[in-house]
Amino acid sequence: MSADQDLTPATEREFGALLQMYQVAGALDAIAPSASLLSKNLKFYTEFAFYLGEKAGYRVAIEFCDLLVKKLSDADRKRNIGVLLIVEAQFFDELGIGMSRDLFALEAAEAFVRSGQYRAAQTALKLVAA
Amino acid sequence: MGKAPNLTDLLEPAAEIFDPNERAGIRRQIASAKVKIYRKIKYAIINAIPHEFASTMAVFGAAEVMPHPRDSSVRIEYLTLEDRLGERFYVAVAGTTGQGIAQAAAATALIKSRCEFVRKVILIGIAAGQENLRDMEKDVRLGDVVIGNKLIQYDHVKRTNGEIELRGDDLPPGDKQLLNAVDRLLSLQERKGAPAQPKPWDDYISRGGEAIRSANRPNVSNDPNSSLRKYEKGLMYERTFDKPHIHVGTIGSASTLLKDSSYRNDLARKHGTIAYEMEGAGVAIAASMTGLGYLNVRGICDYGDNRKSDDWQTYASVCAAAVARAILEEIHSI
Repeated sequence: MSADQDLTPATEREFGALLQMYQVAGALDAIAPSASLLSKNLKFYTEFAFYLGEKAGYRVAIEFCDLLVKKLSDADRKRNIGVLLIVEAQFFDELGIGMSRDLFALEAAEAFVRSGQYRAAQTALKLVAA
Repeated sequence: MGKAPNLTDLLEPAAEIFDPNERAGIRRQIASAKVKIYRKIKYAIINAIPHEFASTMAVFGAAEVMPHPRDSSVRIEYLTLEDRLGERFYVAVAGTTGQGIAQAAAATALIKSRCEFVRKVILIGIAAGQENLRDMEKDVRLGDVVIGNKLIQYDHVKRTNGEIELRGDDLPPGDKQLLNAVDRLLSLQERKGAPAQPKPWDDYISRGGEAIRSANRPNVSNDPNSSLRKYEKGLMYERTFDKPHIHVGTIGSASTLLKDSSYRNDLARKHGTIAYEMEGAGVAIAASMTGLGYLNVRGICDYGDNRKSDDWQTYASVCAAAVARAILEEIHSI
């Protein structure tokens, strides 16, 4: 995933500012005030999650993804929640917690199937190592 | 882990799969993976109240959250333990249920619905102990641990013209395999010089004591029975007085906070109860209905009478959690 891609200076600045806002506010609403904004810019927020993982640690990034999932679920915008679950699975893998990686990758696959995204579900299944 | 997927591929896949057979195949793969993963979680633990949960987490170690349905506010976590042979195994944790039989039943059913391959559940908490000031072997003291091989629900009664008949004495008993593991641990108490010998739960009690506020063993002067004991029986019985001693017997369960020594003694005379708590019957009933084996493990924190205080609660929670952990590690080693 985009963890391997170098950030452009503009993106680095943007993410840096977001990180500061998120850490100061301690709440997702400070940087993602609405579910619709989040839903439309999911790729951006997912890439920010990777940035957060590198700068603040994978546990913080996992919590961030969990908040994103909750926000989308509460607003009944469940399409693409699987992407966030896969990202969480990847973070758990980085932390060496294989059981959580498998649980979240499996949950991602199920979420994709529920929203009819079978190609993505197939991709999620490949992450399960159990 | 396999190669990390491309974010764009996931959000904007080149070609969706529409073939019904291929879709069915993916669903089968998911079902198969689900069985493989969730089959690793064979045990669960439940606590009723926050300090029991805190003690359990301190003794068992850090738990990881499991992904959960977003329409549920209850999060299930899991713990990773190792048995005596060094093999890793997983335990689901339901968190706190709240006091009461119905709440405990609901939590047990929830665990089973979310972790369908869980086979055994252990309820870890505190309880009032049945004192026996004349018999050293039978005296359940503060800081001891009681494990229920039998359970009665003493508030499930029939009252007819002043007569009270117990109806709640047909609850399923504790799980045989778990009790078997308890027996093996109990054998450590039966050896000569046992009180001085280290037990598998000792280190866990120390761990809990270091991590939780007010979790160290209170002074014996905080035991209201300390000056009242006049042992006449069981004098040859070897037991420890400064660490938990494990008792196995009938536990009385009811949605009742017990502070009545006469009532308590009456229950003991009629039903042989050695401890009293508020959730066990719920777990027993729900476990029986969902195909689970259960065990009730309780640290003794008071005597269920008007001398009841909170002084021993945290230490008792830690002791119960420590013994429960030893039981799980023992049963998984078989």
